[in-house]
Amino acid sequence: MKIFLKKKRTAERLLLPLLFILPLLLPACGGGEKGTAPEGEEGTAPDAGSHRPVLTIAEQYGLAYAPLQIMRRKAFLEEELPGYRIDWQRLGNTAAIREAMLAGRVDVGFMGIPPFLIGYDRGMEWKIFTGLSEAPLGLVTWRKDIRALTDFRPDDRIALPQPGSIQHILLTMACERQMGSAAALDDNLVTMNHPDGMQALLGRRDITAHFTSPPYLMEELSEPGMRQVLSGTEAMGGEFTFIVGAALDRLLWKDPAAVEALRRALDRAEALLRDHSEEAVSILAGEYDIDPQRLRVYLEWPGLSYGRSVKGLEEFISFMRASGYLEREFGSRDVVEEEK
Amino acid sequence: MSTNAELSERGRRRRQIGVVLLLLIIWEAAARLSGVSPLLFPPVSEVVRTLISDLGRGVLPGRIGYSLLIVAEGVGIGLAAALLLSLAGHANRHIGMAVDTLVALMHPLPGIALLPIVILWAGVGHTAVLLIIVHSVLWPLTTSITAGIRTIAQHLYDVSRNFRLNPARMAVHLIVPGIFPHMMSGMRIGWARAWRALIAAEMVFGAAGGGGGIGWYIFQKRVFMDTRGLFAGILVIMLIGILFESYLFDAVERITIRKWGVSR
Repeated sequence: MKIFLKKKRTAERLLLPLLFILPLLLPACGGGEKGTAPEGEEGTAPDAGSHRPVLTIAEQYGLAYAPLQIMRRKAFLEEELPGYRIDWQRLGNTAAIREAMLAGRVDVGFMGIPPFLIGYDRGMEWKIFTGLSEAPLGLVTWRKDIRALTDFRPDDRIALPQPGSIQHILLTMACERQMGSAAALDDNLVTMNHPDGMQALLGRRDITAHFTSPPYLMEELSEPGMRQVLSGTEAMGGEFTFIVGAALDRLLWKDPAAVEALRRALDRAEALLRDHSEEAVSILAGEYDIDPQRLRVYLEWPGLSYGRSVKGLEEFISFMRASGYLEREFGSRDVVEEEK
Repeated sequence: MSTNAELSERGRRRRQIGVVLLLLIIWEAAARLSGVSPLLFPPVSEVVRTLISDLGRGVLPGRIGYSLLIVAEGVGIGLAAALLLSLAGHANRHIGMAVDTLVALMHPLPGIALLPIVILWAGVGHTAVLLIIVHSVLWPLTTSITAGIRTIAQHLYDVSRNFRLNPARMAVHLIVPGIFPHMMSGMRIGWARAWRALIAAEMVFGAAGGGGGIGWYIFQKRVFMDTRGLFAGILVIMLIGILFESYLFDAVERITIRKWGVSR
């Protein structure tokens, strides 16, 4: 009897923790199927509940992503792509979007051209299917003695999102042109996301300069004493698309209709934005928690425009290959999915 | 001349190496046979190739050196501060109580939780990382050293007083050997916490200026989508961890406390 009791206790000891762990594991397993696009007949996975296909789109925060916010709030894509469930994800940085797409959790992602190219170069199977926006980018400083890139001293610090980001690549382009070496300022860089970088710059202590994009650029430049040392177009030597949309090859092959619908929805959103309509402004003011008056000024800022063309791709590819950021041989045609 | 204990120790090491080799073979086979994209799960042979090439180009040695130096600096400061705190606590009962309370409050706080405040006070960069490391080391060390001082038997103090040892000689001949085993176990905990805190901190705000440690190496590999490099960084962190935790500390203990006979 005693032995029996003892045995039972051992069994309990094993079973009890299992009972606690199992419910934790189950939803995790289920979550694996959500939003992915496995090798089905269609490019997208069926929605577990209603068997609707799911299209998962990842974006980041910033005024350059405005057409996506309009599209989501106005449900343009739902209208253009009936029968699909649209899943939006806002991720903190491009690396996270890339990883989510690599893992098959996200079908479509929006990002700068350089991070897209790095992913393509390393073997990610994806293509640019649309441009999204052009935007003023700039290197802002509070220091009066800094008038050009050559004025930075070794202990000055420049904040930007991350190595390999469009801000970093633009800075290295300008360094090569003005200082003779693409890596001239690499030892001065500090990795910070835009909000942290802006806080640090406005603190006027640790960070000498901040390479940023709208709306942070506008907010920094409206502070007294802040000046722009370098603009994105100066760095590039021409116009370029800031944010592009990238889709996994799997989606492009298996569900071209979804990609087409996405393009149409973007066109509608961008049309609404282009004439700075009351409606667009009020939607965005809510999204960014910005005063509508100020937002209108930002939207009319020179250099900010929305459209689906892709500019500057070839320049990015050749510069990034020449300075060692890209290793494989490919051209702009290989990475863009043309419209039919 | 090898004793039984040494033999069994050697056998244990050999078995451990066997397990590691087996794991590496399973890794290689799984990565090659599963057909998973090497961007998600690269075979170990490619990881090792990246590791060797980054070691050869001097990228990794620089990063490793930076990390180890800053940990050494932090552990040094932490050790000095912990000795000061616990000796002060030993000398005066009220200070002792205050130190105990402080340790109880600070010890459970993970360094990384302090990071936002540290950035506010010290900015980003070397000082901030150093502060996080000192925080991770100071409290476990203070606890162990205080415990060490308390376990030295009262009659040993009495004896040394009978020999009229002055405080300096008492410290050298009684307190240091007496607290050493405790200090070493505190150092083990402190080092482990410092190492983890360092990697975490570096991955949060990356490098400032030209410097950057092994956490920054992993961060860079991530943004440039070099999965092999990511794994290489993780291997390096593991290897350094093993090197310190199961070899270096053992060696130090062998040449100190076991020789002095305070611990076996």
